[in-house]
Amino acid sequence: MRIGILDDEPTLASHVEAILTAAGHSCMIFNSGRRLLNVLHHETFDLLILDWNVPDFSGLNILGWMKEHIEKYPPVILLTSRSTEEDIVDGLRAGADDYIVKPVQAAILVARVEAALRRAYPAPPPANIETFDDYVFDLGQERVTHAGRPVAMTAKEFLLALLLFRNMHRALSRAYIFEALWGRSPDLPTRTLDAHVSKIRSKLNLRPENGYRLAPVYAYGYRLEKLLREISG
Amino acid sequence: MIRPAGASRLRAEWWLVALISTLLTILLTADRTAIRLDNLIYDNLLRLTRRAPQPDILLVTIDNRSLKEVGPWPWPRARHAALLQRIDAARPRAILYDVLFVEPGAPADDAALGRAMASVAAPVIVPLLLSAPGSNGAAFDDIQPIAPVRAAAAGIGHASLAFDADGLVRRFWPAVGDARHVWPHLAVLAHRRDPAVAEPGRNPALPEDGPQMIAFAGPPGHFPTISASAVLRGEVPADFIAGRTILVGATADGLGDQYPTPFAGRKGVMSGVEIVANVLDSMEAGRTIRPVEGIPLLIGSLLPLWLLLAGFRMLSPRRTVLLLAGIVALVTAVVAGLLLGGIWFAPASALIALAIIYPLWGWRRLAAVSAYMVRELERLGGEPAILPYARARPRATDVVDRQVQLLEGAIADVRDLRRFATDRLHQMPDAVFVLDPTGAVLLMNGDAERLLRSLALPGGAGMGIAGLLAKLRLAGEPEGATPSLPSTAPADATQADDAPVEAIAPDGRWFDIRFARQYSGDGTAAGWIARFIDISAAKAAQRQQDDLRQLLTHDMRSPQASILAVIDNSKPGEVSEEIGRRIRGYAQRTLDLADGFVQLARAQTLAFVKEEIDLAEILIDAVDDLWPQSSGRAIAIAIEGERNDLIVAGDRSLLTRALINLIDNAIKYSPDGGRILCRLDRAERDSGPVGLCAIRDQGIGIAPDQIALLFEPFQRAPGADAAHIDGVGLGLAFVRTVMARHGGTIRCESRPGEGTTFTIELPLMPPEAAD
Repeated sequence: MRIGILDDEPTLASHVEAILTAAGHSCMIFNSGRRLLNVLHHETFDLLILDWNVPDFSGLNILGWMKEHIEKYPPVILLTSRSTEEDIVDGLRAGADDYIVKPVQAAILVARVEAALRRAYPAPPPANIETFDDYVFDLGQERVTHAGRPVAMTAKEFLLALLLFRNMHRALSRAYIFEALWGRSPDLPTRTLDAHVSKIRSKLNLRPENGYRLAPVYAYGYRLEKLLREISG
Repeated sequence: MIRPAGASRLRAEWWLVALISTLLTILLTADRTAIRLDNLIYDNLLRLTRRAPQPDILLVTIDNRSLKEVGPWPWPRARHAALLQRIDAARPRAILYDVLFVEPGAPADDAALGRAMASVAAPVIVPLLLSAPGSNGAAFDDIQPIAPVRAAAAGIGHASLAFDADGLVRRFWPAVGDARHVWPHLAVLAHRRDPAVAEPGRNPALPEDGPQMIAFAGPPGHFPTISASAVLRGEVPADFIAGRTILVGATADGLGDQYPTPFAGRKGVMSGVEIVANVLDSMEAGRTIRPVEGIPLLIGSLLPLWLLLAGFRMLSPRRTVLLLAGIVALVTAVVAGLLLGGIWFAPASALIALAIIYPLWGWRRLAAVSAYMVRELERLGGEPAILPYARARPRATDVVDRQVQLLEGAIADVRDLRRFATDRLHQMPDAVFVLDPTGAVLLMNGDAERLLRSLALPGGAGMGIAGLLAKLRLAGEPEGATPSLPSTAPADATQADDAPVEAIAPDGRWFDIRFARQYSGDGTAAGWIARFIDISAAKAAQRQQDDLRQLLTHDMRSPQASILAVIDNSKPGEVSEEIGRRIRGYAQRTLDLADGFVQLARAQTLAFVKEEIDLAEILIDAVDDLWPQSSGRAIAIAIEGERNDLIVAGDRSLLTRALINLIDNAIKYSPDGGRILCRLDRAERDSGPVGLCAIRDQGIGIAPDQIALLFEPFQRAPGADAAHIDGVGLGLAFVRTVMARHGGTIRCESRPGEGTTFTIELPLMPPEAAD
């Protein structure tokens, strides 16, 4: 895939480029927002990795400009040193698909990029059976097996688990999850979602020991991560 | 206006005074108790209205000189006959011979008198004697003159006088009589030009009124008088008598025909013939006086009274005094005027009522005001004091002293309160303006005056706040937007004050402006209190803090991230693995330091919205977050009691990070392959149920004297091997801050060598709130 990288720090930009090139993507580096903007007028990228703080035209400005001027703009991952929860939420709410705090960890970067691309350019319609490692989702029967053992789940838990697995490595907002499970404007306490997430984590053993992590994105939502230690190694 | 409680009492007192004075006036008028005063006024007014006698009245008196020169009294009938004939010779108009001829004398003398009387040309009018009470149950007996006189007289009238209670003669009866006879007064007969026309005693045309007032013309001796002896001796010229009405009567001392009258003269009395002369004169002059009596008198007496009563209600006390004087003068003038016009209005009842009602009203009004004042002052004294010192309670037992003490206390309170209020306003730390509803400045303090001066605005009360607001620029708004006075329209006392606005002065100062609506006691808008707080310093500090945060969160992190990128991006062999590992470690520590700073600042300042959080969930999140660290050193982290359902209210990110910091600490101080136990529990405290989370490690432990220092920034367990353990002691300071902001606590139990247990305690949400 064709990925544009905006970062005014050349070392970091080339580091990102190296990681993504190794993962089979082709990259283009911009060290100023204005230059990227000029190129965006006539070039197409499958995904953009934007630094928030660049001198002339910040990542958020680029995002805002694309929303206004490009009908179908590529997914955006913000890659920034701003580490507080408030900054992360601001970035996601501004329309970024994901948010990565520097320093960059190769495995995470690759996983997040893959997740964003998967969502933006979905694979052909899934079969009746969807398999994620040793988790097997039977869509017709609404049943899940983990390592061959059936896991008893309610319909909502099944939907939530499937949603999280299909969006592996992607931050899902609470509103998005709510709508997917309960429809528009459900009059439910916020605890309901937390309780469901808690159940799924426990029933499917989505714990680091098992290679998975169901992580909260504070004030935003949840993200299911598959621990990919071997890639960074 | 709110009607004071004292007004109704005052009104009641007014009605009471009005009722009493009206009843008193009615009583005085009906009872004529005040008649002596009336008489006094009448007499004095009468003396003022003295007039010249009518020229055709001449008195011929049987005076002391006559008795001495002619002979002692009683005179023989022949001498009377001679006097009559002497007078008649001078051709008078009429002769009123006021001498009684009721006792029969020698028949020859009587007949001679009759003949002489019949022979005179002028009509002769003689009196009869009315003796009351009469015989046989009659009101009076009329004792007529002897028959010859009766036959010869042109008219017979009575000369009875009406005596007032004080013994003075002020009135006469124009006629007296009963069913048998009506006798006119002598003067009435003399007044008629032809007394003989009417048959004596039988004139139905005579008025049968009560006594009429005598309009005296003057004192004794007022009328021209000739001694009878002079007439008898022929000393009087005929033209002196001609054409006049001659009144003959006895005036000599000792003859008894003397009466006290308003015009008493030196002797204190007036002779009967002079009284008759006065009556005749008044009729000749057309100056009769009729008294006002009954209902008209009552109405006339009540009129000035009610005028004054109305004045009490409407006028100030000073004007009321003027009104009283005016009314008395008016009454006097009206009475005098009426008297000149022949009407006697007895004013004493009205004047006495006026004289009594004025002090009465003054007393009652004072009593009402005094009672009201005492009641209000005592109520005021009973109210809780605003100022923090005790008021002296009045101790005096005397009523007036007590009132004075109460009033002094109240005045002192008001003075202190005013001083307190102005002092507090002036010493208020920020610029404070007290505004009326239109925004005009009523009061301001010293800071406010300095603020106006610094912006080159005119000070002084009365200026509008708009001038100041126009100088300012609203923060965060486009150029030209100025702050404005909030609308006064929604005058709802329950409405919250308007949100504060921030504005910037031309000199760059920042102000936080707050307007607080003011209401008066009855809930109407009374204006505003505007407070201008100079927040320039706070703004500068905030900018500095923002800059620092920006520096730490981004500018300091970025190079570290780049360092890590350089290491990661290096070609194999370019950087030795050991050097790379160490550089990576230092860069990571710098990143952690920056994160710790930022997170601590965030924990201190973040304005968070509380959400319901299950402690077990965030504990799992924290443990999962630290998986790389724990699994890297083969440290097992166990969770116990996760089904305890410990729901707390708080910020998820802060609480999770607090747990991460505690567990991270435990990992750092644990030996490789160690075990960390996270235990959730529930406990009851006085304040309610709490959730407990204890993190226990098997590390090196902390000495008791170091535990207290743990939660200060930059503290680390002593003996910790810096090379082995990363991180700076901001983590526990963060935990303590987060706990404090959630109403929770953190404590630490440790024994060196045996491990450490950190326990956090957070209040649980009430069960009905947590679903």
